[in-house]
Amino acid sequence: MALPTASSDERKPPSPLITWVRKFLQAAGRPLFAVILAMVLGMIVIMMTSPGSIFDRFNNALFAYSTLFTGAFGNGQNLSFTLVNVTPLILTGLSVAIAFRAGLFNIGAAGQLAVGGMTAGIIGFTFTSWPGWLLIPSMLIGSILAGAIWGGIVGILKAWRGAHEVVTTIMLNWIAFYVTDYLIDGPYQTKHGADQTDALPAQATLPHIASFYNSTLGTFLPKIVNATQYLVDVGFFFALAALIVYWFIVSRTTFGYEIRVIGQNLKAAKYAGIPIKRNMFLVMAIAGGFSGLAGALQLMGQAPYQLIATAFSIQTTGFDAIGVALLGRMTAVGVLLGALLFGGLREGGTIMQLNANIPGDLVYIIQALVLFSIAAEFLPVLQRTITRFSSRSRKPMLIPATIGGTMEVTNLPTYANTDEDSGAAHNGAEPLNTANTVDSEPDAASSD
Amino acid sequence: MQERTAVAKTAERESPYAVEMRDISKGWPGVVANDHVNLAVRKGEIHALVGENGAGKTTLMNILYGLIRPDSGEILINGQRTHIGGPRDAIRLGIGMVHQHFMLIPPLTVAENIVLGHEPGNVASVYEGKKARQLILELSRQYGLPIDPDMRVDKLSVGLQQRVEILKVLYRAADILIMDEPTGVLTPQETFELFGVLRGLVANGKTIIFITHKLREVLELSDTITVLRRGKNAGSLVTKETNQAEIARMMVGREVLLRVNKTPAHPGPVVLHVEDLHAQSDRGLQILNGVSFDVHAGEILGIAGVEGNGQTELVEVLTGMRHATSGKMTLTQIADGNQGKTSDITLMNAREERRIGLAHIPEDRRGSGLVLTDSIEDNLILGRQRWPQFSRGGFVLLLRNIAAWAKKLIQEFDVRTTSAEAPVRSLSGGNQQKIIIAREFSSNPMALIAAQPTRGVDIGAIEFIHRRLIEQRDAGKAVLLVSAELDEIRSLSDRIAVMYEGKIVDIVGEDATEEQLGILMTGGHL
Amino acid sequence: MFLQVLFRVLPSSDLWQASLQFAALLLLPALGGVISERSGVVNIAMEGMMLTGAYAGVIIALFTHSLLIGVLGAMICGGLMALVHAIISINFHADQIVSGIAINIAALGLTNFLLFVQTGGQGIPSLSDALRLPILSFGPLTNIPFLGAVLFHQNVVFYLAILILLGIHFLLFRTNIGLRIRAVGEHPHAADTAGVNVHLVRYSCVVSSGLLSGLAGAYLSMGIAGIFNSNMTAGIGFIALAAMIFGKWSPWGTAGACLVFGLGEALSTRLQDSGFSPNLLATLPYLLTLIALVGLVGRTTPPAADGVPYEPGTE
Repeated sequence: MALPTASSDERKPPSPLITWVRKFLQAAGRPLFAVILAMVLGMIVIMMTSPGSIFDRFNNALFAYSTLFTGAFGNGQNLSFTLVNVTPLILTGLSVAIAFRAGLFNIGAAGQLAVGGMTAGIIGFTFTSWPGWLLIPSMLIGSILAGAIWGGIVGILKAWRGAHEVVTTIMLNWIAFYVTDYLIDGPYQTKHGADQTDALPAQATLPHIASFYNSTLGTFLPKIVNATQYLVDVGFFFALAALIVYWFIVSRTTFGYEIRVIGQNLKAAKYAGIPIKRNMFLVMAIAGGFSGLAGALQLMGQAPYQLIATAFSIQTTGFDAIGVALLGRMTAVGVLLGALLFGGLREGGTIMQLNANIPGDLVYIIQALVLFSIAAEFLPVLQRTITRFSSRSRKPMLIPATIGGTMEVTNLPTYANTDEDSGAAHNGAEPLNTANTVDSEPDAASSD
Repeated sequence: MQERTAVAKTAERESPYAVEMRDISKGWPGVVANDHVNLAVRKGEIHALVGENGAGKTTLMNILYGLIRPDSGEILINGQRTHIGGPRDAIRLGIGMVHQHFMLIPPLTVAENIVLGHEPGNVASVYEGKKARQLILELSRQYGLPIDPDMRVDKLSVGLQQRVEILKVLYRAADILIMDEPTGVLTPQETFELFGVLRGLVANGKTIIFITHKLREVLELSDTITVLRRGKNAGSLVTKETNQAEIARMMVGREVLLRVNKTPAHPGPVVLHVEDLHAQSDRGLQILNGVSFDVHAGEILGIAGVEGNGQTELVEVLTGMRHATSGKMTLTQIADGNQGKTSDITLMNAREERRIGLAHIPEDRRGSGLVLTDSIEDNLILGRQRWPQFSRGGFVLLLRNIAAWAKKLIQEFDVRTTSAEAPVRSLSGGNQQKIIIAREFSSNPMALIAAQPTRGVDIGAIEFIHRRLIEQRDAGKAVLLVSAELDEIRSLSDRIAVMYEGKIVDIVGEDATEEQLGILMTGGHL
Repeated sequence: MFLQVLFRVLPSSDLWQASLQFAALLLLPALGGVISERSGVVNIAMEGMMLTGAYAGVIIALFTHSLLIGVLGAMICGGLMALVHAIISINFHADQIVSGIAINIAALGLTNFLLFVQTGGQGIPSLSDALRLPILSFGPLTNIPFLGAVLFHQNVVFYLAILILLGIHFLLFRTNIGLRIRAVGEHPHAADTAGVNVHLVRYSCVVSSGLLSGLAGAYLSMGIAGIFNSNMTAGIGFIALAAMIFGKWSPWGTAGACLVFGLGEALSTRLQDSGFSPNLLATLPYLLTLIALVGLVGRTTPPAADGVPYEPGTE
């Protein structure tokens, strides 16, 4: 490489603290920035629509936010409500994340969830005489398989017919919503009402964690007081287990390695002889399985333990999951944190509406802002704007390029580039040499 | 067509220079592409801009054409100082650029492509197809560039597509033409025609600047030369008064070894046997028409030919990335000079082939050979992730083994990096190629296929790679070298197979002359 | 039983009139999508832009007591949402699908939020007739049997939609602007070097799609329903998306798809007593699009540079 640049071996190695801070910023910098930015903008929205002086408005906004946070995590009961939301968000978040790893955009989590929930319901409503230890696993497995099929269809259509998964998942979502509505209003409608099914038999339901604890470990350890107000069910543990399964698949298996290559550089995958079609199908099936399980846990874990028509299409979990996966940068820990945030927002929003009289829909706005912040390359563009003002200097950047760079998000597939090389990814600070990609390689950080 | 102002005309008369770029600098974070570069091109001249990869030639021309703005410096066109804020400014000044990668829109017609952006009438009006066609036919007659305006551009040959690009530039009344590596994708015949066209344009009063790294063409076509090295001026030459060696020396700054020292080969038994391969291209055309050859252990067989005669597809078929429609390939294991098991690899995919000992250095290293956003460690096991030393049962990754493997290779091949977990794109181009070579060579293959191994790599690293290839040959491997660089083929190969229109037309020895090879490469016979 | 009802319903002009009404509702956002995607910007935010337009139209009309200003306001608000999408996608290189999803979520949140705040939680009253988009009736032509009721007695927006359809086809394929739009959508880099202002073209197209979706929203709330309800678009934007794809990104193809889907929707409400579940019928547009994608109706390929952000070397 012929250009004179700073060579990394010539500088002293940075102190461990700086390295740690840099690594943290690299990993969590963009998501944190996104969330903070969204929160600030949300505050501005509240302020714009509140009455009174600037000071009053600011106070009002602060109060609204405080109810938002206490509503989400403030006390044990609220926390447990939040965790109820978090369970399906973790699973659907993982569903979206694992597909992203392979370069596939799974917008179909909602439909896969519906199909999974419906299947679990059908099994539960049909085999009411089965004992719990048989019924529950059957329902769970059934929901996973149903979700896997619903997701697998997308994978097959993409791999063998080149049908873009963004469109197929959206189509399958609506098909799932209407088909489940048909079933709920039709063959599985309860005789005691309309637009809903029967409730599940008691042995098909999952116990609440607090009650479960009281009746097992609580017999010799201190009991939880007022256990019935803590509504989170054991489905939460399944979600945590799913996180571990996800982590294992993606970072510890050859399958995970192969889908990561597919997601980052399709040409390299072909070069390496990785079976692309088969892996696309498998990853979508696994993604569908995660969401299907979410559907089952939703049904089996919380009252009224029945399916209600149009509930699936109204639920925003499927789209929330996209935010969770992106915010969490497709890692297990990230998805957990993202799910906690979005679940908390959802729950806190309801409390905020009650206590501060700010409509809970603000949460949607915050969510959308988070998505915008993540998807947009705000930081790199900011960097470029700053450099333009300081363009006379040839010294390296003030903000290290690492904060804006290395985002799998910039490699998100689009209609057009499904077969193309997503390997030459854009580093935020990398100039686009528009005429010739072979001649100059200014992304080199060290000399040859 | 454009008009010039009276002021500009006076300046024109006064200055003999069509283009002057003075003290141009352009840099990006951590990189300086142009460092106080000067360029002066006289009117009616063919000027060659020469330099290694990364020397800054394309950046400089992009600045001239307005695609990039310089950090400092000034540009004078026909003696007048100008500000070029974008391609539209450049076009108004009479500058046109023909890019290396054509800027054509496939589903649109020739006419639509040519007039786009300067449509007859104004922007807001109806598209006047007839007028466009008329204007184009006129132009094509005037400059001797016959073309059919109503053909869809994606149906044209590469040479014709380039012609459309040239017409685009002429349509915008360009007097100064910039051509970026114009002959890279042309056959020798098309190159010959192009040179004729360019000389004709100059006779019509145009000025031409062309970027190239092909020194032979520089000597044949240009009047004057500017050499860039590492973003700075390295020298200006008058073509008549210089030679290839001098230009190369200016480009690199030291004496360049144009040929590698190698001892004679001692070929052993046949390792790779290819028989009557046929295959289709992505467009469904027959691209391999019965390719046959053998590669022996301990020899380098070079496949020479102009790009586009099936070499890329041949490599894809050999490495399991494309299916042959008929024919056979086999790989024979050699141990201590003795023949071992022969496997039929015709139907094997890339993964299986690696398993039995075929290594592949891809021609598209940043595209196929590496996952740029992935770590060095991960890239070093690419294609071999299911091997027992890297994964248990082919399923669970053995991370410790992988890390140790990476450490070993980084040391052995002297890859400059701070950590094995750094993403591969943080490495320089040369180091990236080293990763690929380290990976492919160290798996102890039986046969090695190297496609365009030094494309886009600067001269220093080229020597390194050539030496390593010879090493592999001397260690008894069968090496198949596919390259569009005739010098490389002649310097490394023990035998040379020439490919033309999907067939091996002849296999000659290492002492074949360039003339002989040229005849074979263009379909002739010796 | 189903076939009986079907054959009874098919020749009724009422069915076809409703089909065309719904088709027009789909056509506007779908055409917006066509323009946007032809210039290379993926747009799945029709749903959100429509919803915004639906709300904005009603609120502004109520506030200004003017139908015209309400409709214009709806279009402008739709355009503003599209502008956000454009800025984020074009200038900030956001993934355009994520941006589209964010717009949809933001629209839902924003319209509900404002609905609560601006009406003090009371909800919106229905629009008086003066503020509703009127039905145009072409006098004597309505007496033609069957066709009279179907074609000459439709909401004013229906006729607007037809004009817009013709206009967009002409624009895309017969004008210089259209040539540039198509060029930018296929190969923005080439268009840039030819001197076309890629960003300007894309911004214009995306904002136009917002204007069209906003108009459709106004049609829904001020023309068809006469009121605004939370989340009243309920998936219509996605059917429009499907129509654009099913119609292969061509204006006339999209119009055809909208007709088919419009018919499906009108049928599903009229076949309710036939024993065939309206829910299953409602899956028709989506199933058809899936089938089209599987390639049974020929390849569905979008413009080559659709969804790929472009950064010119200059600003």
